[in-house]
Amino acid sequence: MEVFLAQLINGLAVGSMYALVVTGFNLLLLVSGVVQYAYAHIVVIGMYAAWVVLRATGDNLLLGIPAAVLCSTVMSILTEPLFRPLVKKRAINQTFVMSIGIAMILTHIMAKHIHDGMPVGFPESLSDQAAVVQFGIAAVSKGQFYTFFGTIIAVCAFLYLLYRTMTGRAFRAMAQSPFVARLLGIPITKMGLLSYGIAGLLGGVTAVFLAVTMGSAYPALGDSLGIKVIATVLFAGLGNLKGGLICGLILGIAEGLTVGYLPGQWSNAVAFGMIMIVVMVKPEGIFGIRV
Amino acid sequence: MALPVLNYFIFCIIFILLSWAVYLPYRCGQLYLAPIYCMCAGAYFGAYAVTAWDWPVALAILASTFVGALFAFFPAIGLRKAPGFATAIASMALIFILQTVIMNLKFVGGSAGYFGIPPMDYPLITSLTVLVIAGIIIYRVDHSRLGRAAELLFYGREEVGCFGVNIAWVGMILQVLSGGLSGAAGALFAFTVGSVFPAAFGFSFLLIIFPIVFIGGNFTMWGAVFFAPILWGIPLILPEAIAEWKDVIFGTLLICILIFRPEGVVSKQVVRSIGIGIQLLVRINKEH
Repeated sequence: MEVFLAQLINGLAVGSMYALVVTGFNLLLLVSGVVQYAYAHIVVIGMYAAWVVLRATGDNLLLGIPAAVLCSTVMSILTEPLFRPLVKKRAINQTFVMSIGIAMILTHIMAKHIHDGMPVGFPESLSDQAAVVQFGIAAVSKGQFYTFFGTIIAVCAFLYLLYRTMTGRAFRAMAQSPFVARLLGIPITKMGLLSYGIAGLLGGVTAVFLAVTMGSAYPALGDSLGIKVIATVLFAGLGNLKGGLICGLILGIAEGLTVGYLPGQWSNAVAFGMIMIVVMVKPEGIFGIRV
Repeated sequence: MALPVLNYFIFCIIFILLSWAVYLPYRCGQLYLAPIYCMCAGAYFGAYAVTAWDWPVALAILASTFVGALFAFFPAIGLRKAPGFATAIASMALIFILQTVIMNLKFVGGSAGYFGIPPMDYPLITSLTVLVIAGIIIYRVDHSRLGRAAELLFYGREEVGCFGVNIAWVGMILQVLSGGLSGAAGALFAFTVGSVFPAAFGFSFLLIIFPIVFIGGNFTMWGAVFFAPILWGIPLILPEAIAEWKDVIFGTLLICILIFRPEGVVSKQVVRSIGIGIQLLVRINKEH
């Protein structure tokens, strides 16, 4: 029971981060019509930015955390002009291929030019693993606590923006029909750019939580996170925000429990096996497509 | 022939086969990434058949082709009608599933891999034979009713369905053919490298195949033929300081080509122009 509890806590912390990245990814998919595989890489670049600033400023968290958020936001906005010609042609497959090109460049930067490609470790002041609550061998660490509740706050803020503000209404109109949204006077380009900014902001917040929970980052993290995020989006249904949140948590918990109970490296196989079954049996995902 | 040059040619052939394996389902708008998974199956089967059962290499390559096709067939039952992007992720998932399964199978070496695979007797001739046969098949498919139906599917699934084209059947045939090509490529890889291990069949292969397919040209089979030797060869001849920027160069080329020339360098028009040029040259030669 204690093992189950420990893996459930781990799974919830990991799943909440998946949920946050999936939300940013879905926002780009809905509003801009872009399959941004490199979104996860932008999150990891944010982690690296935090590490660089923390190292340069003697572990100053007040500078390190904003650096991650700022870097991810700027990086996300910078990719917008690249996708624009493909978005105009509604070439969704090509946006995926282009994002792989972007991911290749970002991975190269992390693998060759930051810390000689070695994993980077975050200071204990950021990735505090001290237990907040203890249940036998199972414990909720400070990092997991901050990540879980931080994710809830970030998601609530995002949902408030989406459903209670004019900007959110414009986003939703664009998601339903960019053509009609343009007729209604919504500045499509400006709103598209804003969606990249907000997705980047969410990515930056995720970068901080990832640093807090994992305590380190490495160049291949972008690829492994990116594949899981896209897989979760397919599992839930393309562009389905609520589905993405739920499925992110489900995937995290499933992964955590697999690590706890199955030998070898079966966690990836279980996660992807679940996704394969869903894609083959219900190609529109569990909660349906919302693009 | 010197070993590095021989290996260069064989790897070019392997990449052309894999690029064709991505190109075929892409003709009907499916971004199919399972060639790596089928290649892995083919490589392991070929290696095991030759070492454990003493099969001749040629038979092992042929059997690997069928194994690749078989491994593509079962997921194709579900993926045959899936839209492009869903196919990409589901087929990518297959790579990770097979990798994990092999890592946990002790009789094929687990994570450490399978070693001691004998080389081919005539590696270049064998590889070229496989390439030519595969090329003829793809050329025939491209110019058949199936190829034309696939091309229409790329532009609109619903409209093509209205014309009576069986979308599921086209998707399945192309995926199985793609699996067969990948299985053969896997066998060639195993006999060339002499060992196979799960980590070899990962995302890194896709990072070479994608630029070949999309920079070379994703609407004709000739893009891969021209660009596999170029894109695989350039990093090998460049100075190390520049060659280590390979991913940045490939990534930038991929982005630029998708923005400025989404059909790739070798488009259908280019192929047609080259064909007309060759015909003119032949005619001029005859007249003189």
